[in-house]
Amino acid sequence: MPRIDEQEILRRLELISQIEPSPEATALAMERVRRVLVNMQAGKEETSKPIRIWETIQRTRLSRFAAAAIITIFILLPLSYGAVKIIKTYFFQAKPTSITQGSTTRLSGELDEEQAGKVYDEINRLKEAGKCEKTLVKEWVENGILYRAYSVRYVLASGEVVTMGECWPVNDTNDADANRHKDEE
Amino acid sequence: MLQGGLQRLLEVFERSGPSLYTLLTRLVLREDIAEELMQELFVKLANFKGLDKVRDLAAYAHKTAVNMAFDWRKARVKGPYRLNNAPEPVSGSISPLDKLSMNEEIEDVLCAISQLRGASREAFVMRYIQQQDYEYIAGQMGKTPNQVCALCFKALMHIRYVLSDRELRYSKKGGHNAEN
Repeated sequence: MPRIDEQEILRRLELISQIEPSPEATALAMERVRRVLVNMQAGKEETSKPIRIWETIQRTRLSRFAAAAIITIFILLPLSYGAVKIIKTYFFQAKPTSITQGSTTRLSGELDEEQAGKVYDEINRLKEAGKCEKTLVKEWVENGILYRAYSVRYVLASGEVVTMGECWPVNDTNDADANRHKDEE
Repeated sequence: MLQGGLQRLLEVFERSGPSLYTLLTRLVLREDIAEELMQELFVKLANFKGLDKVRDLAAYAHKTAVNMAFDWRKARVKGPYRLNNAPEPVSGSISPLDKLSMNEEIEDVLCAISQLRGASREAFVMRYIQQQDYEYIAGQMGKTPNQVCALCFKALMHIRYVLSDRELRYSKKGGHNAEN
């Protein structure tokens, strides 16, 4: 049987309920916690967005796979393509070959479009007539087909000499031509 | 926690901060500890990931504050720190609050309340420490006033039993010592 009176407990509880912290202490506590919360809010504003995106991506296996695919398609492939292009452009850049060589007239840069057209037509005529000197420079096989590269020398009507690089896959005609050329040599 | 949750928490802090601080002071009987607990409470709430799902943030903060205060009381009783070891006030004069903290009767009641559990303790603290009416408590706890009344009555009986038991043990011990 409890010996303590219920009224006594209520009296003690009333004493506790009358406790009030000083206004200064309350203000200090409020200021301290407010500062902490505001700092936390400022910190979260800076970091919340990236973390949320990353957490969302990592949530399921499918989203991780999708993210990897997106990164590959939109970042890695263009990067690799760009890298290949850069390497080709700056490291394996084809040396520009002038149409004419040696002491002959430089056609590029000195002829306008009309003159160049005339020279081109004349070269074609000489080519059809077989009035040219072919020198075998290189031969190679690509996809099972034999290719030969020649240095072809044309003498124009004006006395100018034009040397051009030409390349053909080897067929009977060309082969015979090459054989003839070898025989001449 | 999302940014919206932190904003809500700030609003709750501005609205309920002083009453929470008062409650903590009443439960721990020390302003400096109440201040520490108050900061700990809001940091804990700010870092709580499920805060956005909490419908009544003020009631949740209140409940957490009560739990933290009684956890502190339990840790203090178990640990090496005792009220007697509390540092002396700088001024040397004893404030009314310090007088109360020295009051063993009040300490006994708070220790008895700390033995209550869950909704019973929550309702009892709101009714007798914060002097709220049953209607308000029922609204905060999502119960009917009759249920709250029953909870408070049971809690009061339990506290009465605990205090009587303690008094009985002290009196026996005192009587035994007196005989020796």
